[in-house]
Amino acid sequence: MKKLVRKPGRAFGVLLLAALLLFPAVVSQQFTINSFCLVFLYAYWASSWNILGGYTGQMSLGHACFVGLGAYTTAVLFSHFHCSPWIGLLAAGLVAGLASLVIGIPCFKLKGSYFTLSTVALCHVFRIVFNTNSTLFGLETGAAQGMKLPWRGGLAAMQFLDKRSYYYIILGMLLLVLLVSYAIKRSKLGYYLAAIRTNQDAAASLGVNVLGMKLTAMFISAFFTAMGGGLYAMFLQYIDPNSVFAYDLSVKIMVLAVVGGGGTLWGPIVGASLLVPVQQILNSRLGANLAGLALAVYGVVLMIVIYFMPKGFLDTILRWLRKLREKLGKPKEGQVCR
Amino acid sequence: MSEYILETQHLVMQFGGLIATNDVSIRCREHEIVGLIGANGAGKTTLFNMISGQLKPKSGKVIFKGNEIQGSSPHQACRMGIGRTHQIVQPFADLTVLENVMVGALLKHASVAVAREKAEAILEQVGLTPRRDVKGGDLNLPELKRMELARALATEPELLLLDEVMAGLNPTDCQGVVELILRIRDSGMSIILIEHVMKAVMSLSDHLYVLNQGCLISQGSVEEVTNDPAVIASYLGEKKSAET
Repeated sequence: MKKLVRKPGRAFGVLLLAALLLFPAVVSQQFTINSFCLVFLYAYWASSWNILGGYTGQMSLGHACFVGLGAYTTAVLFSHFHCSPWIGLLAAGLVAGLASLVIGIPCFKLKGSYFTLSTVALCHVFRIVFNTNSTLFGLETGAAQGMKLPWRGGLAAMQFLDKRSYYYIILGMLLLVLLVSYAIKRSKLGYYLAAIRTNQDAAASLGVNVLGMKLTAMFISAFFTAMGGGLYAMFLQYIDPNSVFAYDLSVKIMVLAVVGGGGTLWGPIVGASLLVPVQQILNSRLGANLAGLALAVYGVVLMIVIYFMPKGFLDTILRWLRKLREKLGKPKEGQVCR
Repeated sequence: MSEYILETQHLVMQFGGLIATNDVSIRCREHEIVGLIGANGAGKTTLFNMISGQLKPKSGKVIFKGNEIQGSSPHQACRMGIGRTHQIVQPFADLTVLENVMVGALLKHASVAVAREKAEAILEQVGLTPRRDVKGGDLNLPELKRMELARALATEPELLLLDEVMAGLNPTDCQGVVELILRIRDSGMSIILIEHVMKAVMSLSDHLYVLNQGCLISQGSVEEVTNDPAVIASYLGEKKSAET
C-alpha cells in the first residue's frame, strides 16, 4: 500500500481498474455496457496501432485491413469449421500477421507519407476483393451482403446474450495489449523502434536492422489488431466488408492514438476514452436530426483538440497535473507519505 | 588474413556524370590511426559511405578483416565491427543523450540494463555525463559531435570511421577530442579520420592519405605528405605548409 501512495499514478490505475471491474455489477443497462465495450475495443485497436504508428513512427492508414482479415478469419472458422472463436482469434492474429509481412516487405521500401498512402490503397484492395467475391478460397463469405454468424451460444462459442461477458473479454484483451506495449517499450526492441522513428539512417549505422524491426513491429501490431477484429465479429454477430475493411475505421484508429498521444503507453487509451464517447453522444443526440451533422461536429471537436493540444491529450493532462502538484507544494506530498 | 584490418581496392563511385571517387585504394593497419584529408568535395565522405555500407561502389573492393564487404548494408557493416560518425550529426532528437548511446550499446548487449551501464561508462569517457538526461535535439554542436562519437563507440567497433568530429570546436575542445581519440586507439581500436583541423590530423595520424577531386594524390607519413609539392599546391597552400 505504501508503494501505491508514493506513486499516485499507479494508485489511480489500480482504483480505475477496480472500478471498471465492478462497474457491470452496478450498472446493467445494455446500452451503457455496449458503449463501454466500444470504448475498450477502440482503445485496444488504437494501442495495437500505436506499436507500429506511434513507437515506430510508421503512420499506417490501413489498419482496417487487419481488422477485416481478423474478423473474416474468425467468422469463417466459426461458421464453416465450428472452430471456437478462442482459437479463431489466435488464427486471426496469425493470418493478419503473415499478411502484414507480405505487405510490409514491399511497402517499407517507401518512407513517410508514401508508406501511408500504400497502406490506404491496400485496405481498399481488400475491401473490393471481399465485396465482389461471394466465395474466397472456396469458402462462403457472402460478398457485400456480409456474413451472419450462426447462433451457438455459450463460453466456447463466445456468444452471450448479456453484453457484460463481452465487457470483461474486451477489457482483458485491452490489458493484454497494454502489457505487451509496456514490455516492448522497455525492451531492446522498444529502443530500436524509437531510434527508427527519429532517424532511421542513424539507427542503421548503429547496427539496427531497420526493415527487420519495422516488420517485427508491423507483425505484432497486425496480430493484435486482427484479434480485435475477430472479437468485433463475435460482438456484433455480423460482419460485412464495408464496415470492417472501412477506410473510416483506419482513420479513426489512427486519430484516437495520435490525438491521445502517439508513441506513449497511455495515449491511445486516453484518446479513445475521451473521443469515442463524444462521438457516441453526438450520434445519439444529433444523428436523427440531420444526416452527417454528428460527424461534422465531431470534426470540429477534433480540430479544436489538435489546435490546442498538438502533442496529444496525454501530454497536456500530464502538464496540468505537474502544475497542480507544484501549486499544492511539496509539504502536502510529505503528509501523504506519512 | 593480412596485417591490414581494412583495405579498399580501386574504389570507384559515380553520381550521374560526377566521379566522386576514382580508383581509390587505402589501407589501415590494426591499432593505427589513418588520416584522410583533402578539400571539400574531394570524395572523403563518399569513401566512408562505401566502407560503412551507405553507398555501394560502382567498382572496386572493400576488404575488412580479410572479407570482401562492399555492397553490404549499413547495419551489417556495423555488426561486422565498423563504427562511424556522421559529418552532419544525426541525433535521435527526441531521445535523451543516454538513450541515444544505449541504442548503440544494445547491439552487443541485448539486456537493456547492461546496455544502460555500458552507455553510462561511455558517456563518462567522452565527458557527457552531466548532459545524460537532456534530449538529443537540445545539445549544442560540440556536444552533438561527442554524442555521435559515444554512440559509435557503444557499438564496440574494431574500426572507427570519424567524419570531422572536430569541425566547429574551439581549440580547447579539439585538444580534448585528440586525447580522447588517442585513448580510444590505445584501447585497441583502429581509426580512420577525416579532418580539416590540420594541427589535430598531424598530431594524430600514423599514416596520411590526400584526396583531390576523387583521386588519391599523395600518401605516406605526416612529414612525407606535408612536403609533397602536389599536396601543397592543391590543398595545404604555401604558407600553411611552411608553418607546419
